Amino acid sequence: MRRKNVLLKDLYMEFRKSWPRFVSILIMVMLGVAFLSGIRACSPDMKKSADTFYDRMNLMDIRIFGDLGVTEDDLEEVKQVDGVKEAEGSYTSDVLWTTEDNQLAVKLMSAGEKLDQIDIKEGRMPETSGECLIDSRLAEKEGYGIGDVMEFKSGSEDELSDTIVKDSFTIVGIGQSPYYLSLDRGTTKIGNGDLSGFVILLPEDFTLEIYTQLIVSVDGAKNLLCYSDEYEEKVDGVIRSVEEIAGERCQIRYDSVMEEGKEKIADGEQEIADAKKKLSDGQKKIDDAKKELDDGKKEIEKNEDLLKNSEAKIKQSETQIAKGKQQIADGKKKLNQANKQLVASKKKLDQAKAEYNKGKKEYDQGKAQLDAAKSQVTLGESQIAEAKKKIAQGKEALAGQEGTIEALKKQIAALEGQEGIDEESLLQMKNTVQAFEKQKVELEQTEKEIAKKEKEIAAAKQQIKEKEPALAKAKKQLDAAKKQLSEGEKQYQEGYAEYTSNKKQLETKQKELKQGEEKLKKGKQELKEGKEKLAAAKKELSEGEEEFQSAQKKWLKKKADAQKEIKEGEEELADAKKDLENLEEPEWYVLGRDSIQTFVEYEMDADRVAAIGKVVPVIFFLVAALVCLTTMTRMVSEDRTQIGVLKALGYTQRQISMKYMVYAISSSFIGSVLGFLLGQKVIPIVVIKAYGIMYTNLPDCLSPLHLSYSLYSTAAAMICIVAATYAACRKSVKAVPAELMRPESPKAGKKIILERIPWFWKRLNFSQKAAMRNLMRYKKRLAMTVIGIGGCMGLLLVGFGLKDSIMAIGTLQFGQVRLYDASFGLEEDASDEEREELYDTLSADSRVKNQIWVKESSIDVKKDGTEKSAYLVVPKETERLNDFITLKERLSDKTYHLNDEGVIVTEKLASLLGVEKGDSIQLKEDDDKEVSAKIIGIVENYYFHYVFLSPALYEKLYGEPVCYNHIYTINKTNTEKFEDRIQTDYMELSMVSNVTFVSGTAQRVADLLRSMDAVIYIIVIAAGMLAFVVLYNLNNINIGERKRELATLKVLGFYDTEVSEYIFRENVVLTILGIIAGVGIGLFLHRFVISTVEVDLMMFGRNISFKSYAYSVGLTIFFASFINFMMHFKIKKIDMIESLKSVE
Amino acid sequence: MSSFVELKNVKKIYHMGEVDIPAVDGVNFQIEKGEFVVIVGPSGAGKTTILNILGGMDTCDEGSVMVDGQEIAGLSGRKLTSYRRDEIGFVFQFYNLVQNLTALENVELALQICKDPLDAKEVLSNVGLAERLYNFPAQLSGGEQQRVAIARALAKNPKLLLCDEPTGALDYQTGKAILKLLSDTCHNLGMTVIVITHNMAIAPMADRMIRLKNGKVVEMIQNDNPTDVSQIEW
Repeated sequence: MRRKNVLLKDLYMEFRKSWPRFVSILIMVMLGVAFLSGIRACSPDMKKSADTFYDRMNLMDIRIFGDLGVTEDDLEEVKQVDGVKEAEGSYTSDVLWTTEDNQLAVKLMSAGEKLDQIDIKEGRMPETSGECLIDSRLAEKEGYGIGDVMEFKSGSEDELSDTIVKDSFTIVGIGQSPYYLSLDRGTTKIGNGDLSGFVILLPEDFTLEIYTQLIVSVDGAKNLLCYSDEYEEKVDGVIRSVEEIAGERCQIRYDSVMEEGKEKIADGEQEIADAKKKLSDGQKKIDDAKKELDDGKKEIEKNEDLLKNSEAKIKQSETQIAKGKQQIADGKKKLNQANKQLVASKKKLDQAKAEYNKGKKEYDQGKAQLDAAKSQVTLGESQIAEAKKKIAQGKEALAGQEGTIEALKKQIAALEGQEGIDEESLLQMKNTVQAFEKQKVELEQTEKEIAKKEKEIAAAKQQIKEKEPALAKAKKQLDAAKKQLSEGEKQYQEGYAEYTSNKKQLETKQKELKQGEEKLKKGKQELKEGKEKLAAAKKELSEGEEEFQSAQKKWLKKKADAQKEIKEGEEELADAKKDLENLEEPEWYVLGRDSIQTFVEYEMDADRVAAIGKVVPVIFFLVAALVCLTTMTRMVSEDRTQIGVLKALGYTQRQISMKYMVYAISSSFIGSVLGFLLGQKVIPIVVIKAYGIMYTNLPDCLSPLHLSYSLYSTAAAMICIVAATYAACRKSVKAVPAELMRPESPKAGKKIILERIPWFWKRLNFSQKAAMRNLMRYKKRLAMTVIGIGGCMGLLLVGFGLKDSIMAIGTLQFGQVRLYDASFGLEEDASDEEREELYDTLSADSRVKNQIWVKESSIDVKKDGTEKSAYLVVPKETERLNDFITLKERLSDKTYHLNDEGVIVTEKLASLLGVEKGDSIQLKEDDDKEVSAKIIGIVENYYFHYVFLSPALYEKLYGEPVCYNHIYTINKTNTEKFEDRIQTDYMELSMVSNVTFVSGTAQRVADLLRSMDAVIYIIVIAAGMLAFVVLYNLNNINIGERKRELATLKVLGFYDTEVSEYIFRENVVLTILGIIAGVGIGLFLHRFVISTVEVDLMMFGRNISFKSYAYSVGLTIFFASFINFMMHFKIKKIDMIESLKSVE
Repeated sequence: MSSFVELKNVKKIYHMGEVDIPAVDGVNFQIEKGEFVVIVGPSGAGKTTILNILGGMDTCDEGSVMVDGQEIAGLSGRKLTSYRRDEIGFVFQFYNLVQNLTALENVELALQICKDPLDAKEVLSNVGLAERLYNFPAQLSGGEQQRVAIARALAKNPKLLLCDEPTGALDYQTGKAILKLLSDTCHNLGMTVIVITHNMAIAPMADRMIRLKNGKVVEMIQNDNPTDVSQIEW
């Protein structure tokens, strides 16, 4: 017991004395184990995480597609298959989704009942018809959210209604399908060929008659890791079982399709016959209508003729009437003239008459006057004679008759009174008396007057005598006038009679005319009415005609359509018949999860991490283990003397070895446990999170402890160290004590190889020479240190280099390769004018410095069965393309220009296809045409694949002119604000379908890859820690081994710093060598890691930047310096007394 | 005028837990310049401690140590190093040659830090190793190695040459030859040489013999006619 206690005490003292060594071994083991088990655990943890997600979402294990679809009955049958747990039918269909400014292809999927659940991020699953759940990637990308409405459009010839019940659906949820872990949604046959996402609808909203696929879960498969062989075996078993019933089901399906097809063909034939009948009926109808129309036309023509006749007649009568009128007017005029003449002649006649009358009157008067005058004269003569008798009587009477005069006077008075009243007669008698007196006077006077009258009568007699011829002449004249007059009257009378007859005639004529006019009027009215009627009829006719024409047109179109339809129908029918004839027995495709793209990709990525885990941590582990075992070996050899003493004292080998074994076991065990705990808990999470950048849909992140990794990494670490310790112990313990107690013969110095290069050796000063010799003397230490520092440097370089490589996508791709700033996409249906307009607008825009037309489209590039999708870029001006995209070979810096000889492809594409310059590749745009082109250059590119082609070659290959659909521009600046404004301005233009900015893409890529930093920091920190412990240990050993030498130097009078320098000089060289080795290790590891981690779509930068070298070197030097700084104190503590001791 | 080396009441006590072990307990002696001094005494007498103190490798707890008029007892670490560097040459029992350097280089190693060194090759030929300049220690015999060590110490042109059991690891003849070399050096170059040994037999060849016991000087004999080393037998 006692002995044991002493040994235990010794062990305890050893721990106390050398705890830094203990801790450093522990840490190194921990790091090595953590790195090894942690990175190795990544791959299974990734798989486990995915499996957990798949299990939670109840992702199907098997899905069944049929050439002829799968039916309800099939589903029932599949449910009966052994090993099938659940089975459901589901529908999927690819349609186009029309967003505000885009048209995207999306996959419609029916919501699973129990299987294929959706990981809902927001909202809920669709519950009623018209609701949908949208892919969260799609929602994010297009800015759609819950409550928004999605409009769908069929992307093929089939009607949308053949697929789903309506064309717009309201978003009620946003989520993720276990079918998609990554951002990639696969491809489709519609739209631009890229699926943008999925949309979940209720199964009821699908109008498809048969299921697109059956999804099946396998009993007991859920408990298994879906990437495991056990799972595969289990599922494969069920797949085989399902395949067993496939034949029968397919036969049934075949028969039913055949039956259905035949029925359909019969129906189709009937339909076509009906259609044909309908067509002929229609033709008849049209023909009838045409006839009717023609009849109407004819009638109208007839009527028109009639009307024309009557019109002519009317015109004739009108002229007649006009003529008549004229005649009448003339007649009237004549009549009037005649009348006037008549009136004038009447007047004349009247005048003549009046003249005559006057003449006659005058004559009569004259005659009467003459007669009167004659009678007067006679009278006068008789009177005179009487008057003279009377005078004589009167004078006798008077003289004697005074009374009689009186009586006469009374008589006259009475004569005169007879005429009046008696009073008056009385008065008159008085007057007569008066008058008698007066008569007496008057008789006297009358005597005088008779004398005078006698004279006058004589004169009058004379006068009458004179007047009598004139009167006779006048009478003669008058008689002539009378004769004339009567002649004139007769004439007039004749004229008048004529006039009256004329007038009467005219009046009759007028009356006649009036009648004619009335008749004309009536006729005109009639004509008008007739015309109106005709017009109406014509209008009707034209309307009818128009109607007919449109009807005919319609009919023709309809007919054409119908005929076409019929023809198509017939063709279809023929095809259907042919199809039916050729209908092969359908087949079922029973597929496992490995038919899901991301399922496989994720596995591949996990395997890639596993690949990294195979090498990198092993190197790490080995370095750590190597250093640990060196430390342990050293520890044993340091105790050489003590072992010898113990042995000499009679302790058994086991007892002696125990101390070292306990030391080794405890440090390596504790280190291992800490290591695998830390490694498996931390590293996988970081890695899974990093992969989460790509597999955004994977919500789970598991990092369980793996027994196997824990055990074997622990075992590896412990076995390495314990075995080394045991071997060292054995070697020491086996030796005879005497030998052990003698100092180990010092290693002999000798000339080193460098001394054989005199020019170099001479150049070194003494200290350097000494350092060189020392380095070469401790070759093991040299190797260990160089490996340690190199490993550290290499890992640092890998870490920083990975970052460089990843960032290269951003900085190189968008800084040096893509020189253009923006790409303006045109609407597919943009007209040439609109294209010109956009180009001109851009030219005029001062914000745009340069621009070029290009055609950009997705193509598949093939070579010997390998197919990759890429972008085809055809610039309008090949020479100017280099202003927009750098076409440069990465290694040689050689710039290529497009020519008509062949295509330029990007580097990663070339390496994926395994092609070189001069090889031919096949290009396939769309589905139709595949062309072959020679590669004339391979150029640097980091993101996506591109094939550059000249327009002339394009035309030659495709036989059609290039339709440019994008304009690349170089802008004045690329600040966010500036680009926002450009985007807003140009998106307003109708022909612009999208404006994308390179800076935006660059930013996205940068953001995307930023979280890779985590992995890099792990590596950098691990490298740092490794460097630290390794260097610490190695230096510790070095100093320990050379204590005596250092003490001697001190005694010789070296200052502490000089002693340290003596050692440091060696360390500097070691560090330099380590760094050089590290660059090699780093480059190799970097290349390896890059090529395993890299995804197909990207090319990580192949170069490590100067900065990264600087950082790595700087950090390595820092670690080395820090260790040296610590060592300086250790050196300082070395006691000079050591030098006096004998060699141990 | 004081002596070249003068120790006055030098004490050095090691504290081992609760026990104080006085390694040197009040030592007094003087050494004149150019003397060949032998300090003898049994193991544990304090010889090595005295040597360490004299060589500036250790400090004393009490007393004064004067070397060529310089008090070294109270010197700090760096000053002590300078003292070692410039004033002291040291010859070890186990030679302490750097295995990785040739004989010449081992000498040059010391010269690197020296203010006023002698020519390495000359010194080596003076110690009789003109033919072995480019040999590594492993290729040399013990005596030869000790000669290299002596050459290394001498080349620094020190004021004081301290030798710790220089013959301890050597056979009789070789030991004698080394002693001869040392005394010749002393007398030819006028260098003060102090040799520590437990071998009383070589005391007669010294100009001055100091005998220690239990940390104290028990005897100091000045020998005006030292015996030639070749005549000494042990």
